[in-house]
Amino acid sequence: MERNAIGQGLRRSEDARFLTGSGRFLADLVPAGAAWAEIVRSPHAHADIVSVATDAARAAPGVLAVLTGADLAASGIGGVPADEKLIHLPGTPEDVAFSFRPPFPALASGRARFVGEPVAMVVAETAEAAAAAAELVAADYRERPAVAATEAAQGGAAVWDEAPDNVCFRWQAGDAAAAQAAIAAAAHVVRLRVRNNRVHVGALETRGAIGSFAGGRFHLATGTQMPHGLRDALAGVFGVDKSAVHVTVADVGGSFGIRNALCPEQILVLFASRMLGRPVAWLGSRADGFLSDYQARDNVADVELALDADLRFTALRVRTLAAIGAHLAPKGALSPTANTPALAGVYALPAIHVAVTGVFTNTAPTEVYRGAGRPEAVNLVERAVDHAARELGIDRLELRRRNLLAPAAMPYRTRLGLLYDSGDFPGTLADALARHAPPPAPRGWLRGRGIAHYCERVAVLGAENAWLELRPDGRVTLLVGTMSNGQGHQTAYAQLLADRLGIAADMIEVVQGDTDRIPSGGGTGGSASLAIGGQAAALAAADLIAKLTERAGEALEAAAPDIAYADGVFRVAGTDLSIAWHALAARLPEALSAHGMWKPSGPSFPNGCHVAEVDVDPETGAWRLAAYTMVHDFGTVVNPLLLEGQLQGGVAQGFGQAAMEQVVHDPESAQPLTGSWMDYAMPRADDLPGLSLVSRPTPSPLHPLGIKGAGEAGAAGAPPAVMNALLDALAPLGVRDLDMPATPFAVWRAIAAARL
Amino acid sequence: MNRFAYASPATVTEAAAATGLVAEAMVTFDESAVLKAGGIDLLDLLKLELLTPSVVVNLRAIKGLDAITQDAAGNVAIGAMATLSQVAEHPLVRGSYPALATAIAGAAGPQLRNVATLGGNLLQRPHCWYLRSPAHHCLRKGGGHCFAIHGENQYHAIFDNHACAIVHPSTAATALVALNAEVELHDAEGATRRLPLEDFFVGPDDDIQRENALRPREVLTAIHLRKPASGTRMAHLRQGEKAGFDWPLADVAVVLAIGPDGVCREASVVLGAAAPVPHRARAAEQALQGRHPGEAAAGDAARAALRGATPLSLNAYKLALFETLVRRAILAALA
Repeated sequence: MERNAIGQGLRRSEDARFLTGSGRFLADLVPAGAAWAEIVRSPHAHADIVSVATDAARAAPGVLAVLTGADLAASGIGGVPADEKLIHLPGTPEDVAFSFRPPFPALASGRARFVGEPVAMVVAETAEAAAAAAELVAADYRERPAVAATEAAQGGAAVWDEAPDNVCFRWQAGDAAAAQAAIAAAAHVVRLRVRNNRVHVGALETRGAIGSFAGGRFHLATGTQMPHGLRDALAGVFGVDKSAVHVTVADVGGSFGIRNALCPEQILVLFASRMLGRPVAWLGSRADGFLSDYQARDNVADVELALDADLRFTALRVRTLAAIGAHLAPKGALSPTANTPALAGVYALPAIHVAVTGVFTNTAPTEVYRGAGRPEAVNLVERAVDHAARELGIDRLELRRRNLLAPAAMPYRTRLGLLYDSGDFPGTLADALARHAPPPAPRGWLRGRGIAHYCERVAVLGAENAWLELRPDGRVTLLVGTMSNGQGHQTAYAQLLADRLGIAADMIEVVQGDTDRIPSGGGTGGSASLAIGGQAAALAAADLIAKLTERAGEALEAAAPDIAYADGVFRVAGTDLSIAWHALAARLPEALSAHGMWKPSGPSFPNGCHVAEVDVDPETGAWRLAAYTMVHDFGTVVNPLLLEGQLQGGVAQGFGQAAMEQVVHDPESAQPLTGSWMDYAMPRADDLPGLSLVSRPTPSPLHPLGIKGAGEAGAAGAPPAVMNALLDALAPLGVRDLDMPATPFAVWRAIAAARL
Repeated sequence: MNRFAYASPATVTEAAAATGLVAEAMVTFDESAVLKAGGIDLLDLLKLELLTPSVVVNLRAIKGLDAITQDAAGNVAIGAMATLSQVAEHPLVRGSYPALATAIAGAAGPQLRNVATLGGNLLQRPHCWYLRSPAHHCLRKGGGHCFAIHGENQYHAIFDNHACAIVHPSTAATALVALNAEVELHDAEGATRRLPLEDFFVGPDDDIQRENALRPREVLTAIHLRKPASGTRMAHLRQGEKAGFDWPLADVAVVLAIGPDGVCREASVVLGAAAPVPHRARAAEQALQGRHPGEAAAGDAARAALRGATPLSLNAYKLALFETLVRRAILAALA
């Protein structure tokens, strides 16, 4: 029997169906007889909705229903639910609270607060009829002044009357007094302002939802990272028991966070299907996506790094303005708050204080996106370290070496409360520099090198359960509540189980995305699926082997403790009595079930060092990434091929944010101008060099398998590595500051300003 | 996207007749019929409902419109339906007009170049984000003013931008104007006319409602290129925000006729993404003519190329960018 083991670079078993067009995405799942929905969206960034006239649309051919905010309000269903509390970090004052948690009805009523906000929904016999009738919905708006820029929020037009200063929350962590004292006493304090640009996630498959209602139960087919979490949220919206909601997910073309949370259209299709007694499908267009997908990042931070006379860090203080958008999305406050502990980085930092103000603007709500606050925090601290080196005239590497946490300091509790279990940061840095071998620079161009060194806290979701079913044909089905959005879970789980069960990976079927079949699930997020879900699957495998060993004992008339299992064969020790996996399975009267549950005692801390090399044309501001090296510690690597894919994609996303991605609003009207791929730049393969990836794993002590989690690391390190490289290249010209995205225009402007 | 009828005539004359008011349809967004060549820009315009035609007239079924041929005198004719890939890879183009091959090879990505046609590329609408935004009823759409002039204008025109600040989106057009190409137009009566490509494009100061001189019931069928004089050197350079699949921030085509004595007899210097139509930099051309071109002449020409520019609030960057690209393109042509 072929032996599949942890550590092999197995090719993705999902790719056959993806590459031959036989994947099943949401558009493939619309049932016969479904009605089709079209969303009427606000054309204004901020306007009173004076009236919404629906008569003409209702009278249009094929139209079944036209819903407005008033219909939802009359029905008494809830809006999109957001987190009720801010996460409070230990060791921090308790005064962290929302100033105002606005309602987020699935259809706006009274006021529209961003371009693209749903105002009405038309349901018709066909998608074309729905789209045509949507044109006939006549909403009368009275425009109001709007605010789009994060820095203009406080003092700008009030998005909510209840929050005249546009403040959604104020949050802090760390020790304000200690940071203040250290800064006051410091020999040097360097300061910089860092803008983290707003990005559109742009998953390949657009958002969509198919709702149906039968037998008193809702069924939602959609893309999500967390089927069970979505089920529970929908039960809350409709005021029903969660057993009355069924969520299913098929293949999903990318999420990166945008499918993490409930969105208005998912509520609307269920509402309409219950009303009409037939399935209702909404398949969003790319234009819908650009306007109404949750967006990400978008904050402005003032950073102060204090150093003593020996240039050892004494304090880090950060003041961040974080754009929430027009509504508080379900996890809209998470990124700028809960994941700020990544600010502690890989350094000995005796005092840290961070204060965050979440502000409303007339823009699409922001949500978690690959790294969810960790890339933003890593960007701040890594930019600050390089900035300090330049301002204080010390070599960047020397400054880093002087301040890196030593392996002997582990376990180390950071001043933002994390307990790093392990990590050899000086070794990782040395390795990254040793492995980095860029090609020669083109003549006349400026060469720059940037370093970004990070330590992430991941796998912080709760417990995950895994269930195995062995059938008489010898094949095994895994049911687990995580959810692949294209990462390759099917391959990874099958490989991991093949290793544990001693059977071939292709004998294992992986089932995710069905809240009826899978009793519970934490879902996918925070690089947690393999670290937690994989561990649960391994425990279920151990349970299955134990149960089979009992059955083997019965078959072989021996006591279970005398039976050893290896490579597909149960053998009575010291005899030639044995029974093979298939033979034993064939004796089963029915499928044999096994279960594993894993709840880690704490997060894991993958870490790594990125080195980027850039070449800049000083005459035009054009630049290119010449080489990129990443030395990483993700603990046990199940499949290096999948890992490489995750890192390439993550680095590309981080590079995209640093180099070109930017949601642009017209400054006067707050109208989004980046409404299609024509105006929103995404990196392509030819923008990136081949990546040099070096694995330096130390198993996580918190998970028996030792997996730490890798899904977000590329995005966490790439922005500061790239920006530090650019600033290094431009330093000889006197450039000291540069914001993302570093378009050729932005680079040239920085050069021109430095020459003045 | 609205519902429309679809016609697929077999001859150019039938196509011209089928389109009715084609020329107006190209510029006023709401006319009844449009031509479909590759369909690349057309599909975007239909999806944005910037065009809501009642008839789409397909040109693909017309035989011979994609031919690339050379006459006895060595002049080359490129059928308007030749795909960008066919043009960029054709030996006649690569051999005699390498700047055109370069300009086209940098457009969009390979899949699009395999479908997009040279004619469609020349007739594509500008991609100004205000023009393409349904929320902005701009001057070109019959509204009151150009939003770019006081808005987000970093990608907009630095010449001829007083009324409307679009830039011409075609890099092929930059090279073709520098090569003094002519377009051949065919009407519904079967008559044809030719005019210089440079005169074919219409700027906002001449007519805000048009971008070209195509008349009603007229079809662009071919692009004609004269045989280059011996000693002709040329280059096209572009710069975008990423390596590929993007419109340029700036592109420059330079064609120089160098005599046996090393003196520049004729010079064409054309800037793309600089003005509503491909912008011929006459002062730059004059700076080169009659001189032995080299570093000094290239620098003089590059500075002269930007004379008269009227940058907007956010796009003065383009002045420096074009100056660099013009100088480098001249030197690249000579290299």
